[in-house]
Amino acid sequence: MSKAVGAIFLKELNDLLRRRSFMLLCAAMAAVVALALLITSLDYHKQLSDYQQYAQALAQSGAAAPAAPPQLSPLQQLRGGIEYIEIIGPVLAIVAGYGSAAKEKYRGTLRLFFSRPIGALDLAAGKLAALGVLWLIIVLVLFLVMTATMHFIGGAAFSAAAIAKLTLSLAGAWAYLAFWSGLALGLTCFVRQPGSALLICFIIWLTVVLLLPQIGDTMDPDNQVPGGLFQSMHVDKSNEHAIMAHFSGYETTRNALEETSISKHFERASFAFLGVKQIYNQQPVGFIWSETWKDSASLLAALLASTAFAMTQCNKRNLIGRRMK
Amino acid sequence: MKSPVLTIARQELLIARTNRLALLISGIFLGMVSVSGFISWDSHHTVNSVFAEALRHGVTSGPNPFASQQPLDLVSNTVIYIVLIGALSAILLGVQSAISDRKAGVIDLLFSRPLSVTQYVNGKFLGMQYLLVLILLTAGLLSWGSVLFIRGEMISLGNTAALAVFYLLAWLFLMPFNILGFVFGAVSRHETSALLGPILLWVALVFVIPQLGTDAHPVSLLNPVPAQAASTGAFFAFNHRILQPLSLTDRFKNASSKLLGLNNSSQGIAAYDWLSLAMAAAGMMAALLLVKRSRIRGPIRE
Repeated sequence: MSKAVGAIFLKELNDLLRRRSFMLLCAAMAAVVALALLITSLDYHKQLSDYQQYAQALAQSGAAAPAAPPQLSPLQQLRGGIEYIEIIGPVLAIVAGYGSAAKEKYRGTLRLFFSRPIGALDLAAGKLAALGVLWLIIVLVLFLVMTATMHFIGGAAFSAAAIAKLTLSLAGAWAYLAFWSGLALGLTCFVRQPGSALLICFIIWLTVVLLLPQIGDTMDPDNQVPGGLFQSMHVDKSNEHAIMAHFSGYETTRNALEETSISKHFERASFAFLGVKQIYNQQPVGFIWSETWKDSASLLAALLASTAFAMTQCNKRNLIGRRMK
Repeated sequence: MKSPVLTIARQELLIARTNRLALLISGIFLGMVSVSGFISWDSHHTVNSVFAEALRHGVTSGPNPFASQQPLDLVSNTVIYIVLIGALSAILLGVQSAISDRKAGVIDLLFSRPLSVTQYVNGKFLGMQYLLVLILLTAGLLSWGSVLFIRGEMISLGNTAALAVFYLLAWLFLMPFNILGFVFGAVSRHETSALLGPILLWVALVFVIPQLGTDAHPVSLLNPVPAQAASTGAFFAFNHRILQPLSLTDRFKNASSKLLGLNNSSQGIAAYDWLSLAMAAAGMMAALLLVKRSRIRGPIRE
């Protein structure tokens, strides 16, 4: 790292961490994630208590013991929290990336800045590195919030394998959030009017995070009937697969539509590591990776693309060569 | 002599015509409304085929879950597009309306004329509602046209009326978000907080509040079907009862389901849901009156 990049990085990180309103928003996201986990924990404990009452009643009447109690898989309980990162996280990442470039445009400090002997990519590299470290800090805080909530309120214990899976899942969250910040940084430099860049970012967020996955979900036949189509027809999993094999063209189109959304790749990879999707529950990391590496690779490719976009756009020509309207 | 309120409203419409981003998001909304009928038709067609395949395999003997499908079921996805794109468009329209005059520095010039804040705000409100109604009217015609095209038969008068009332309900639902955007745009010191504030409140209304009373996962709340109260636990039952009126998106989804006869429900008016939405609109209109002259004239920064 050159001296100039180091100086920009430190200044940027300091600015980001000192931005009270932004930190407040991050705290709000952590609170919402904790709330989601609290709700899941309460629901689980209620189910467990219902089961115990039922088992006790059966024992008193002398009937046979019921099936095994509902199992608490701490990782599966994190689903709500991950979904909040998937939906709200990009909004915060956009604000961070946008703010990083917009403040320079509005403060008029760029002419002075570019009068110094700095490399063409130094500004972008310093800002991207600071945004990367910021998201690393926030993801670490979320890791602590998630494990602490599940441990102290959910009463769950995490094994070393579970910690490793959660770490991998949150590494995906880091790449996902850094992707959005890079995109917002690049767009804010590229678009002449910073306010328009913010709006464009929100429109992209709406399309990629909310609309595309929603269309994919809507097209899923199982989501067409409350409670699930196959459940309403009393069709088990093996028969479900046999039936859906006749609709492979439809499923491929639906899947292709979902795969255009980076959020879906993040969701699929995270849910696989957390075992939210039953076929990955309690499976070793190697198995999950071999099945879902394409989602992680897509996430990484998107991060690299947004980083490259920011690197090419965050330059002297865009920032001071073109006047704001 | 022209009324200043009408002059401001007319100016609002002129500005909106040149606002490319507002036009873009409105275009996305109308585009999604147009295709939503085809998405519904395609998925319903697949469900019927899946059911037929299940019968052929001999693995089900129950009735077809879509046997009693209503014609307006094809509009079901529009409900969620109104909650997602419609509400965000309404917010952006409101924010842009308030900050455009502040950013351009026109606001000081405007208030140098004999114009009160109430007249200015009323004019803006009128202009924004005119735009919203215009967008929803277009969306209504597109929905009606797509149902007609897909089913290949005339839509009954009753269903046409239900569709018209549904778009009236959509206006009632979007109005508070539109005003919320305007209020944030009018009082915020920074452009970022003007946009971010109402969007985060929208996130709270769509995801957080319904989850507190239903235990539904956030992504599942993107479904047009309203979230149901969790079947177990006093915590959820209490929250569901307390937060129901505030859960505007659920109120809108519920009232829409009833109006359009979605999910095999009989068509009708859900009075409680309408009342909740009307109260939210009235509350936001009251908030509009609290916008102070000093704040609205203040500079806006990044």
